[in-house]
Amino acid sequence: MAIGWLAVAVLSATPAAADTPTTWPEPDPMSTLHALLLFVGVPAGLFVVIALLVMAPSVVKGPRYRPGLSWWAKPEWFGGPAEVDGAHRLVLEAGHGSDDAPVSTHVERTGGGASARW
Amino acid sequence: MPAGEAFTPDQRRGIDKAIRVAQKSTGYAFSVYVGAAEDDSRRFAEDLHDQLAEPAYSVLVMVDPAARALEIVTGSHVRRDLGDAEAALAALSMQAAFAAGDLSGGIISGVYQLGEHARRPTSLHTDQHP
Repeated sequence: MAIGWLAVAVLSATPAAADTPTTWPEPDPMSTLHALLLFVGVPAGLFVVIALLVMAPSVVKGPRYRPGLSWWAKPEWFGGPAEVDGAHRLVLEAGHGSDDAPVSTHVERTGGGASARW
Repeated sequence: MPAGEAFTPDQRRGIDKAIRVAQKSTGYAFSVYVGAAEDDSRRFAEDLHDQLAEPAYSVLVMVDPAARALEIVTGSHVRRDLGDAEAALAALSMQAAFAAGDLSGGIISGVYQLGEHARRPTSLHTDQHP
């Protein structure tokens, strides 16, 4: 039964009715400028758009810390002596140095702590 | 690189919150210094610690991202609750985060960890505060 239907379907197929066109449609000749725009301008535009999309988040976020690269930011002291109620933060000048903390006052201390490097 | 902000507002809030939480649970003052230290980072950190209002009751975390140095300074009273070994443990986890480039995350988790270790067991029958 199934083979009979298959045979009917195969045998009843006729060649396609469309003839091959005798002439191809002749498009208007494309100017060099137009061709350049289409084949160079569009890919270049896509390239720029994708590059911007990739770079945008890091441009918005600004520089990020990476170990081994230079550090760019000003010193910052969270909970430092000048802080009032956690609202203001002392941002020290870049030249914070030993002037206000003379070495001679550095007596032995009973505190502890830990050190690490990375 | 030009001088700029080290942390985003979110990261700042995170650090502030960690400090607040640690202070609240321990009663000790926590502060975090992020910036360039001098050659002797330990001494620099101890000098910073001395500038705090009550050094004996304070914990200072100093991070020098340029020199890749981390110092934790505990005051003499804090040291009773937060031993050097516990500070070293916190330093170790901060170190791992810093090495992966996560500056604010390392600071935040480190401060939480220090606060956790420095918390004294609550005593129910004495209300004497040292």
